[in-house]
Amino acid sequence: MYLYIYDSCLKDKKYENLLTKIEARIIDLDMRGEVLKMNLLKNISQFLKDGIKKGAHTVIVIGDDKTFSTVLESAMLENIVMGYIPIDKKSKFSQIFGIPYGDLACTIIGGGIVEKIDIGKINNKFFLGSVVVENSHNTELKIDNFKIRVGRGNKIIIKNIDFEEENLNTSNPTDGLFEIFVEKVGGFMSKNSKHTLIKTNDILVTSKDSSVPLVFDGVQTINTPAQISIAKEKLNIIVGSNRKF
Amino acid sequence: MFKKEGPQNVKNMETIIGESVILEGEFNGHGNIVIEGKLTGNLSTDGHVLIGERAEITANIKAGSAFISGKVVGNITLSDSIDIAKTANIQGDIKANSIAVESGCQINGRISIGSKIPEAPKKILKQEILKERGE
Repeated sequence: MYLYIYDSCLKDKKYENLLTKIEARIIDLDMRGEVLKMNLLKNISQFLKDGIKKGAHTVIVIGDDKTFSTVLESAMLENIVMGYIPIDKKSKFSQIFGIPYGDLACTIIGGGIVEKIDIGKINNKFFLGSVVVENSHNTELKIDNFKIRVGRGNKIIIKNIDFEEENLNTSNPTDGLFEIFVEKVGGFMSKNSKHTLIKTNDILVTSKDSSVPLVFDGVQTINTPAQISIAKEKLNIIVGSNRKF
Repeated sequence: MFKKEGPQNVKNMETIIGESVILEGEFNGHGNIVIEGKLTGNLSTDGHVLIGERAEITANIKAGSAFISGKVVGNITLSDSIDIAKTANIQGDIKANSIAVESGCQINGRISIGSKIPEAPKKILKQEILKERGE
């Protein structure tokens, strides 16, 4: 049995046609299941727990990357396979996973190629893509037996998966490692630009004075101090043959 | 022969420490490492180390091979070769299998090339000399 989590934005009229096509395709492929339409009052974890008790094996998110990130944490805790039907043509997760937009994604989901990928953990939260430290000059990264500090005008990016268009192939979500980059603020990453790259699987981020916000997956924030570690091959995700890893 | 392997040649480098980065402690890397920032402590890797022109290293370095064009205060021990550029300033001992030095660099330390580094002359105490003589 499948569990479906619908993004709250799908109530919008502009998604009506797309949602009808997706639902029709789900019926064609005999992938019916229970639906949760997201809103502030709905508890995703409870929905997954109840679904698993009834025999559910896969949760499918119909929405954008932000919705996927929101569901990720609960799916990790319940150890359920995740699928994704993107409703945003520019979805970066869909590019990484090789999942096409809209109803075309249903065929891939039905195909059921499941890959195990690494997930980042920041304190007690999970992330798929990256953690960005904006005020990097106020922070210190402790890795193994050494510490890293950076000068003003730089930002530190800790990546599990790299979503930059030109770097989609540079980070591997199955290698058990993060890539740490230091970039000039306002600059562009290019082959010739000066950047810092260190690979590791465990980082403690602290700050000198007040707490510094760390933004993970571009949508959620946590303050220092933060322990960032990798959960190797912890997420089971349905992917397409065009995946980037 | 001296190889011009400048910091711009960073292909195949697994770890890159940029100019704006300060690293302190025991840095045990794997594979090839480029350092263009500051490092204090110790550095070791089984691969190649490239120390850029603006780099400031206060550390002992152990690696497979190295290209040095920045400042190093510390001993350098390599299982293979070392290339020292004219901009390099090394304050420490160098041990390597082979060496290439560009005219203009500054080195202040002992250089040992080949498989064995000669041991420093042993200090002999006056008491030991007297003992040997049976006095």
